[in-house]
Amino acid sequence: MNKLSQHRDTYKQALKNSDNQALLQEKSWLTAAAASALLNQDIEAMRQVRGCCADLSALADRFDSTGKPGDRWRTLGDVLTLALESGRPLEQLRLALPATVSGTLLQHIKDQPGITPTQLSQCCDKSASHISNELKKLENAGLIDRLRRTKKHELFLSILGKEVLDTINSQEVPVREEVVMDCKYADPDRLKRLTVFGNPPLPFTRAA
Amino acid sequence: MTAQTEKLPTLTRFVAFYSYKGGVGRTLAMANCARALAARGKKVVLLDFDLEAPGLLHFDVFKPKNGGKRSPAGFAEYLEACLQDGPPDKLDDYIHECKGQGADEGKTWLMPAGRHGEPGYRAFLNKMNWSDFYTQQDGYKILENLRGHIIERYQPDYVFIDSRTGLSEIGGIATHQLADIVVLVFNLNGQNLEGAKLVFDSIRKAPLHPAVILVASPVPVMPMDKGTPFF
Repeated sequence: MNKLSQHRDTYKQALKNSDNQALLQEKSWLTAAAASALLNQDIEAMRQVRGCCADLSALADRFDSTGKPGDRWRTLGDVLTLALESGRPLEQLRLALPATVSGTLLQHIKDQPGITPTQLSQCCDKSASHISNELKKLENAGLIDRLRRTKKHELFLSILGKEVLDTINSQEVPVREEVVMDCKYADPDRLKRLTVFGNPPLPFTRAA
Repeated sequence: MTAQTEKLPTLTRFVAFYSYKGGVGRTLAMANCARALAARGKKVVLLDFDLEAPGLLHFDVFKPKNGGKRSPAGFAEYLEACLQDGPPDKLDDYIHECKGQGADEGKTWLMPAGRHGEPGYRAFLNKMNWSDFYTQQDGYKILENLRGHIIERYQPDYVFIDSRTGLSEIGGIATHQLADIVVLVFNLNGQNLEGAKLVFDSIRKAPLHPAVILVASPVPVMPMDKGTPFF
C-alpha cells in the first residue's frame, strides 16, 4: 500500500471515529499532496491523488463536522480533472477560469477585440487599479497582447490566450440534474393562501 | 351509501407547542397531552422540530416499537432526502410507531429531529441554510407536502410539533406555516412575556392565521387569602 492510500484510509477511519485531530491532520496531508502534484504538473501524481480521493466527498458530507464537509474533495477533484484533461499549466487555467475577474476580462477581450482598460473597468464594475493589476497578470502569462496607440491601450487575445480560453470553454462542466419537487401531498388551497403575495418569506425575517 | 354511513375524513389538527424561552415545560406539556390522547384512543403524530436540543426520544414511551440498534432517522434525514431526490414516497423511514403503553387505546408516532448522536446530523445543522431552503429550494412546498403526506399516511387526529425556542427559522416555520393552533407557553416574568408578545404579534400576521392558545406556566400554588402576585 502506498503512502497516499495509507493517509486516505487513516482519514476515513478518523471520520468514522469522529477523531477530529487525526481528521484535520490527514485532511491537510492529502490536500498538500494534491497541491504539490498540481504545482509540479506531475501528471502521474495528479492521477493518483484524484483516484485516491474520489470517494471522499460523500463520506465527508456525512461524517465530517470540521467545516465545509465534502466541498474540499469535490473542488480538488474538479481542478485535478481540468488540469489533467487540458494538459495546461495551472497558472494559465487559473487566470482563465470564468469565475475569476481575469477570466471575465479574457472573455470580454475575446468578444470585443481592441477593448480598452477603461471600457473593461466599466463593463466589470471594478476599479481601474484592480483591472490594471489583473491585466498585468494576463500579460505576464502571455495570454493577452497590448497595442499602444498614444495614450490609449487596445487589448487583444494572444494566440496562447485564445487556445487557453478555448480549452476552458470546451471542458464540459457536469451539471447536476435539477431535483424535481413532486409535492403531490401538499394541499393546493393552503399553498394558494400561502403564496397570495408571491413566495412566502421565511418567518421572523425582516421581509416577513 | 347514506349520509349517516358515509365515512367522514379525519380532521387532523396540527398543534405547535412553542415557547420563546426554554425551561418552561413546553416539551413535557406536549408529551403529556400526546400520552393522554393516545390513552383515550386518539392517533397522534409527534414532530420533534427542536433540532438543536431534541428531547422527545428520551421518553421511553416514544421510542420505536420495533427499534433496532441504531437511533431512528427523522426530520434531518427527511430534508436531506428531499433536497437530494425530491420528497420520498415512504414516510415510515423517517417516522416510527412509538412503544406507547399496553393500555393505550390509540397510537402515537414520532418523527425525531434526526440521528443527533451521529456526526452527519451536526454537519446537517452546520450546513443547513434555512433561508435558501425556504425561499430558493421550494422549502415551504416540501413542508406542506410533509404535512399532507402525514395526514394521508397516518390519518392522525392530532399532529403535535415541538417547536424550537427563540426566533429560530424552524420555530417560525412550525408556528407560522404548519400549525393550525399554536400553544404559546411562557413563564410569568419579563423576559418570557416580552418574547411571547413579539411572537404572538408575528403569528397574528401569518397568512394561514393559526389560532393561538396562551399558556402561563408554571402557575404557583398560593394560599387563597394571599391571592396571586400577578394582579
